[in-house]
Formats: sequence, structure tokens, C-alpha cells
Amino acid sequence: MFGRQNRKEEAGIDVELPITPMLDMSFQLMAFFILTFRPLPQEGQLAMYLPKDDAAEQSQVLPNIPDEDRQDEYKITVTSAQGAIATLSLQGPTSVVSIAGEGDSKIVGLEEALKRIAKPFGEGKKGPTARIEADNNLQYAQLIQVMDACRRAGFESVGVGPINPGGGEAPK
Amino acid sequence: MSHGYTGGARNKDAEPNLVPLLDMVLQLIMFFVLCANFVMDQINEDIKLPQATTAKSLDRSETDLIYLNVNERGALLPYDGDREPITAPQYITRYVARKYKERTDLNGEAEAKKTLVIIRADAHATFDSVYRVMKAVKQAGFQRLQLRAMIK
Repeated sequence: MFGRQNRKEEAGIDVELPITPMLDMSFQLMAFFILTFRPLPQEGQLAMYLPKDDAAEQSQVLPNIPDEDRQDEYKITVTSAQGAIATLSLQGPTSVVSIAGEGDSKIVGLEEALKRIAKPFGEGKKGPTARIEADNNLQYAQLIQVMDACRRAGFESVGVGPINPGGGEAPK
Repeated sequence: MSHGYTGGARNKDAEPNLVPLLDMVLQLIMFFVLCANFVMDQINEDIKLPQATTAKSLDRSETDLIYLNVNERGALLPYDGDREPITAPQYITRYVARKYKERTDLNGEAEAKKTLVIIRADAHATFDSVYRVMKAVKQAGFQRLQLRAMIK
């Protein structure tokens, strides 16, 4: 009886938590995560309108909008030469402006022109919309530059489409 | 009596056997890490995105996403099943339509429409090749589309 009690006490004292395998595992896990860690580059989204369905719809301003809510649409036409922007023009409801300049200064010019467009103030009123019509061979990066300029000028969502709204093959 | 003695002898050098537990924990962790990688698999890292200053990082509440990767040659890179790049416009349309149907079967029509489609196109792709993917997205029935760019 006495002996058994004594043994139990000893057993209680002798129990040790085996830290070594736990540490082994922790180090292995740490090594695994360090080796596989690849910081993702910061990517972000640009919101846009879906393209319009077919040629018939291309000429309309925006589908399903009652007349009183219809917004002014500004059309930006971008032609390309070997992927780069060749000409850039901004067509409003009343006027057409050709943006002059070379390379990036065209983008800056477009941004300035878009910023000059008066936006309606007050709640519930939507501002004018912008739509980019681009040459088929335009480099995607250039299109994003134009979209970026529109967004900087306050046009949150931008629509895009090919230059010839009549459908079919675009001029090469 | 003898039972008691052997029990005592075992207790004396008793160690909680952590090895199987640790094995299992490690396996579980590996499982979750691999699962996470499968989700990220939709993103093709070979694509060099264009840069934009106004690009906004993805809202964490957006969980229902489809990524469409377009390479510099304008081919759509599928991330499941057949991994051959898709170049023909009718196959692109079919592929996106199949994605829409998968979503409809999974979540129903109303939810499928709300799925956010993100186009990750290479900066060197032509507008034409990106636009046909946009059109395919519209034709399939999706209603939300965003373009992805690097935040400058």
C-alpha cells in the first residue's frame, strides 16, 4: 500500500513535456513558410461598364435609363500607331476637342480637359459618363492609362468599345 | 497485484506521446496551405499587368470572384481542366459561358449574375484581344466586370 503510493508520487514528478519534437516541428514550419513566402505585388481594380451587346445598342447612350436621368456622355477616341497612342480626341455633347502633345503629355492633356467638364452638384445627381473608343491595335497598357486619366478626373466608371460602332471588322 | 506493479512501472516514465499528434497537425497545416494555393491558382503570375494610379485594392467582402487571365498574345489562360491557352473568339465565349453555368449551378442565377469578373490582361496585349474577353463576359450573363492593374 505504502509502496504503491510512493511510486505514484514519483511518477507524477518525473513527467516532462517533450519540448524537443515540438521545437523541431516549429522550426520546420517556420522554414517552410519562410521558403514559400512570396509577397504578392499590390494589385488593384478599375471598375468599368460592361461593353454594349451589339451594333444597334452602340449608338445609344446607356440602356435602361429614363430620359430625365440620361447623362451627358463624353466619348474619347483613341487611335493607335504600333500600339502607342497616335491621336486622342474628346467628344462632348456639343464639341470635339483634339488633345495635342506627345506621348504622356496627351494623357495629361486629356485629364485636364476632362477636369474642365462641369459636373453636376447636389445629391442624387449623377455626373457625366465617359466612354473610350479605342483602336483594335492599341496596347492594353495605353488603354489603362486613358482609363486612369478619366478616373483621376472624376469619371469613376468608364465604358470601352472599339472605334467603329457599326460593328464588323475595324479598319486596320 | 502484478497489474498494479506494471502500471506503476509504466507511469514512472510516462510521456505524453506527441509524435502522432504533431504528425497530424503538420499534415493538417500542409492541407490548408495547399488549399489556399489552389485558390490563388486563378492568378497567373507570368502576366505583367499595366500600372494605374487609381486602381483600388480588392474589397475583402468580395468573395465570389472569377479571374480571367489574358497573356501578351491575347490568349485566354484557363486555370482549370485544359490548360492550353484559348485564342479563338468562339472558344473564349464558350469558356466564359461555361464559367457562368458553373456559377449558376452552384449558387443560382441571381448570385451568378453578381459574380465579380476580373480581367487580368497583360500590358502588351492589344485592346482587341481584351475587348473580346469583355464581350464574352457580357454575353455569358455576368453583370460586374473590373480590370486589374498594378497600383502605382
